[in-house]
Amino acid sequence: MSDSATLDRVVKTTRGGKYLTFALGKEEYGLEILKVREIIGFMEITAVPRTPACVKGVINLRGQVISVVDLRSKFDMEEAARTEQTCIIVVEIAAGGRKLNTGIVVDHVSEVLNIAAENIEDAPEFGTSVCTDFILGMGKIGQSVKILLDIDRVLGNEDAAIN
Amino acid sequence: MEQLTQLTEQLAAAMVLMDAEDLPSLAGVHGQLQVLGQAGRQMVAGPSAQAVCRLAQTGEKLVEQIILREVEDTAAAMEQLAQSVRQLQMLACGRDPEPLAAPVVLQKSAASAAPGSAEDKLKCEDLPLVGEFVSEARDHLEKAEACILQLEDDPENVETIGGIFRAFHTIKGVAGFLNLRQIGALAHGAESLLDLARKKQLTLDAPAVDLVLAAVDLMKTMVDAVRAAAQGDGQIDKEPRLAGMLDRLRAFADASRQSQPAASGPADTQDAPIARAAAAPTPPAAAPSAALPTQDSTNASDLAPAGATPQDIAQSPTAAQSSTPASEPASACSNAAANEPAAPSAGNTTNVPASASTNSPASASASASENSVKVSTERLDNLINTVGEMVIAQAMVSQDTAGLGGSNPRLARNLSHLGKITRQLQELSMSMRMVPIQGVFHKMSRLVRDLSRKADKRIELTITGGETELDRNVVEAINDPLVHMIRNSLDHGIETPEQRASAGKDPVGQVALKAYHQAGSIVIEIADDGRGLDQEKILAKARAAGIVGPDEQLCEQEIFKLIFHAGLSTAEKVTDISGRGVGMDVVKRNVDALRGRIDISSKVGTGTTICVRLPLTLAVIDGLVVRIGGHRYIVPLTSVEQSIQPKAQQLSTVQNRGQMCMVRDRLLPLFRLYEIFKVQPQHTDPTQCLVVIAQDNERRCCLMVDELLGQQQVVIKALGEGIGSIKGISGGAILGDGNVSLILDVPGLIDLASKQ
Repeated sequence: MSDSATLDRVVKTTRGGKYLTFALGKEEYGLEILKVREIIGFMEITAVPRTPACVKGVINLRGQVISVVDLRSKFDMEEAARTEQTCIIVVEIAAGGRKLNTGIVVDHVSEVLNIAAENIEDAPEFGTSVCTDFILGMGKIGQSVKILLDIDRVLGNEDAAIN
Repeated sequence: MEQLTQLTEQLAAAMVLMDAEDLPSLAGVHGQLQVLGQAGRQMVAGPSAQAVCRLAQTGEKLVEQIILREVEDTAAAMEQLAQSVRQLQMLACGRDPEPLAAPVVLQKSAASAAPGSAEDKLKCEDLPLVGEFVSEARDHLEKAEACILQLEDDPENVETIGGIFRAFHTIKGVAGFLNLRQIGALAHGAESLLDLARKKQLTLDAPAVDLVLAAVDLMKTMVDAVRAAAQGDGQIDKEPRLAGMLDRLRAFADASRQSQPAASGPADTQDAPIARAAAAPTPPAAAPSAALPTQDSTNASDLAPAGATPQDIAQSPTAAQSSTPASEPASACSNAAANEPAAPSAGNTTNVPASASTNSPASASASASENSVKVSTERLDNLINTVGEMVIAQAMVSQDTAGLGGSNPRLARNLSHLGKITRQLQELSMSMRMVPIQGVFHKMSRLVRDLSRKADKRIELTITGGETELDRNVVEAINDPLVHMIRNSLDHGIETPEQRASAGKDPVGQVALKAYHQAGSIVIEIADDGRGLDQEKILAKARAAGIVGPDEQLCEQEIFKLIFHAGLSTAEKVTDISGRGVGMDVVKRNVDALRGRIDISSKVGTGTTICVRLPLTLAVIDGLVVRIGGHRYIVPLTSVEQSIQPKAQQLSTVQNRGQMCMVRDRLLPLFRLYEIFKVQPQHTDPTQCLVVIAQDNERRCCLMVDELLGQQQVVIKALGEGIGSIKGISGGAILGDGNVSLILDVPGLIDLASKQ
């Protein structure tokens, strides 16, 4: 318990750094740049049956088959039409001690931002209605606010297969 | 002379980089000195040539001692080395060297390294080497084991003894390098015994072979302990059985030496393996090597002799070409391994000329191992994946440019050339994963030997087709099933000698292990000439166990297949070896997991043959590509029986829900894949569709699909790890257009559909 508390503190003091920001609808999100492997254009996804709705399926990433998660449906947002800007961010997440690549579908990728630690605040408490476990913090850039995601937690607790 | 100047310059450069704590740099200097020594010997005879040889040799010894940490004062040793190099430089310039300062006595007292007394501790900087050592040592031990078993039939074969000797010798060398004193001591003990055998002072009869095998086993345990230590804290515990084993080895060797006092002359010097290797063939080689330090019997390391022998032998005209230039930095270690086999065998050929022409497998494999490179499987897999990507990319390019070829013949020609090279590259990369099954078969001969002793039966194992190659993963996975099948043959199949004699058979039972290619798959055959499978007895047992209903009629194959049923054993009593009814169940499951097939043929009184058919590789399957709506799926061809377009009269419904299809007088359940996978199909009416009749063992079902797109070989990929395993789908495959298609798992589908 105390271990995870120290870890949390460490995470919080080292939150400053480079973030890749992207948009889902009107909301702006950020991902730690070190977690991002690459950004690819939207491609045909092979649907896999018997998986949760947010798992769009699998794609061929240069010979490697990786799963793709739609962040919109993961966050219970309504589906959006595919546009030229829709893309897949390939992230490396740590799950069960191993690292694995997963794609996430986002509306469009914005830019890479350097956000200093003092500009990052803890996620506000929304009460029970919104779970903030997977939010690393809120990054303030001028007037706008970016929601910084802890992608390991967003995707990690996924028990994707329903058997 | 010019060459000498150049070499000394290189040596001086290597010296600058040298640091007593940095092994690769020391190895670099060592290699340079070796090359220099050779160059000196090729020079016109004269005082300066002699001086070069002498200096190079003393320098080499000094470096070895520094590497092995046998010197009290490293700094003094380095200084002495620097002096030698300066003298060499002068010689190269044509000047007379100034006299050398009296050499410091550098040897450490031998008492500090008592054999196997202390616990060994791995140093962190050695850790990367330890992994290599462990895998190499295992290879060597496996080879040694195979050779030992050959010895039983032909105890006098010097080549074979040499093979075992080399295995221990190499292990000893590297163990010394890594400061693994316990392993070094054991290897040394076994080596001494084998050396006596090599010199024909000892016949390796059954007790000796047993002892050597026991030493191999103990060595395996200790090597495993080293690996465990490398992953843990680096502390290697003292092996309690080591002292006893060493005593036994020594006692055995002593006993044989006393029994042949006349021949024991050379054996007195056998503590130092260098002397041994050199004393055998030619007098000129013996002289310089005798001057090498004779170390304590544990020989903290044998890097020294291993490195030095080829060079010593190179002096003898017969083996001049065996010398290897050593200029790479990391060569100290690898050289010891690479050069080492060359040295003793060179000695052997002069010793026993007849054995050279027999061309035994041991010598063939020894030479093969010198020309191979060890690559981690991860890299190999990466290569194969990348080549796979290239094949797909090439297919896409040629698809995209298909129309342009007509107007541009140059493009068409180049594309077809590219296609050819790509295919070759793919075949090549796939073949790199292939390894001969020999290794597994050798383990079986050991097993047969041990088991037949235990069961008091006389059994002869013949192995054919050990060179047959199959995928590395398959080779690993086939080990367990083979063990169980061999055990079964030995315990249940082959009768006791008395029973065999009374049945009019040769009291020595025959077990044949064969491997060969047949129609795109590998067949492994285990045949015995034992009592055969008794159908009546199996059926009675199965009925009693409730596996088969009392009125059920089974054909011959079905009855034989019952032996794979868990919990069914025809042995009256459970023995040490088998009889619990678990083994054959394991066989079946493992072979199924490899997508293989088992056929049994047997005749009461004459024997049983079990045929295991395996795919060449696990990575590629033949698949039938089918379409349902806009989705493509792949059905493994091994599960496909046939495909038909059903007519209305073939279809019937059960309780208005489950649908059945009558195919060749069999009623099979009809599964609508689009319902299971929740996709939009083109047709929902079975008479408009095709059905693929798929089978899993005895279970069959009809899978409804819209269209068959063709048959294709596909590379199986795990679905993204984020998804995990999904029932009904065994993986994904990348089709020619770069898209992923799902591979159906027929047994899982049948389970799934029957639950709904």
